[in-house]
Amino acid sequence: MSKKEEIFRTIIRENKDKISGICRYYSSNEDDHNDMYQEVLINIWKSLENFRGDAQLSTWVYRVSVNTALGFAKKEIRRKKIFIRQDDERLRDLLDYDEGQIQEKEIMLQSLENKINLLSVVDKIIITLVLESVSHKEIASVIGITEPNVRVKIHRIKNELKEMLKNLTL
Amino acid sequence: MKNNKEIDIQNIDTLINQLQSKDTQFKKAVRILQIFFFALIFLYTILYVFNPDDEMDFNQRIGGVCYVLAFTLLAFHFRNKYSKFKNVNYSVSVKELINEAEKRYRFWKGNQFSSFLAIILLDVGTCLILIQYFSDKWSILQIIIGVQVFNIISASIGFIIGYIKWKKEIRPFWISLKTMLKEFEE
Repeated sequence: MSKKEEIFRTIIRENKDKISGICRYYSSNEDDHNDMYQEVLINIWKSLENFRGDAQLSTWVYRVSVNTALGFAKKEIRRKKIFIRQDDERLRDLLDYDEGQIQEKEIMLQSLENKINLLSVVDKIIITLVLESVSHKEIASVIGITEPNVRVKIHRIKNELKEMLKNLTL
Repeated sequence: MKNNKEIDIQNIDTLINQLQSKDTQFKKAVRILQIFFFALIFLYTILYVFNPDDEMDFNQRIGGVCYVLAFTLLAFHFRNKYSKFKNVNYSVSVKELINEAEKRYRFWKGNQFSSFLAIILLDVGTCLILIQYFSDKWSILQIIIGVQVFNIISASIGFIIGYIKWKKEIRPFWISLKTMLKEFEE
């Protein structure tokens, strides 16, 4: 087994859930998800020579995953839709809502998904990383903006989404 | 949705084989391109620089050297271009990746000096080579003007086709990239 192959296998073994998590937000069905997952693996392989250890391995993997997910539909890059999972616990934590307050959870999620998809690409990436419990520092490194800027953006996005949620609560 | 543990780890050996084969294919493609240009360089060096034919005058030999230099420049230009498109580094930050893509998809890139120099060398080479063949029918000035007219028309047609193709296929994507870069600053 070559050194490259060995490192590749280790990265995949240790980060498969992170890769899968990101791909899930950018794919509407299982086939898309699998294609995207495979594409991320290909790009990890291609980018292996550029890993110099100046970033955490998880940050590096997130970068490749997000960049691949974005590049997946080149011309539609700005209209790239993201998909929210029904069982996303983090969503509830992020927006501080109580399940009991929501009349129809499915309608709420659908509206939320629509609203999120109206955000800018940068904001959409931030949301997916926040939902994956990635730290602000890592988000800043994945996106290429400063940590305070990430915090400001998250604060603004949360407020926008909470405002929308208000109209859906009892 | 099925767990990726089942889907991809099972197929990882197949994938690694595919990836290794793609690496080999890429190396092969670059090698073929290099061989093609180096064959042209070799051919023109033999034909015009080292050809012992007494009828070949100094102008033609200089013309041949111009062709050889032009092919050398083009060989490096295409090799760089090809490897830039093939080796997009996905491990940089999103902002950096978009910034690089925005530069790659511009219609007018700043670093095209080598291809311009190659075109000029081909133009000079063509003039020098044709002078001997047509000097009995036309004056040197007529030959130079004729070559320039032909080259300018060809280059203009190429430029217009290239621009229309870029405007139709690339420009919308390039505009998206520029807009996204602005969003990073907001």
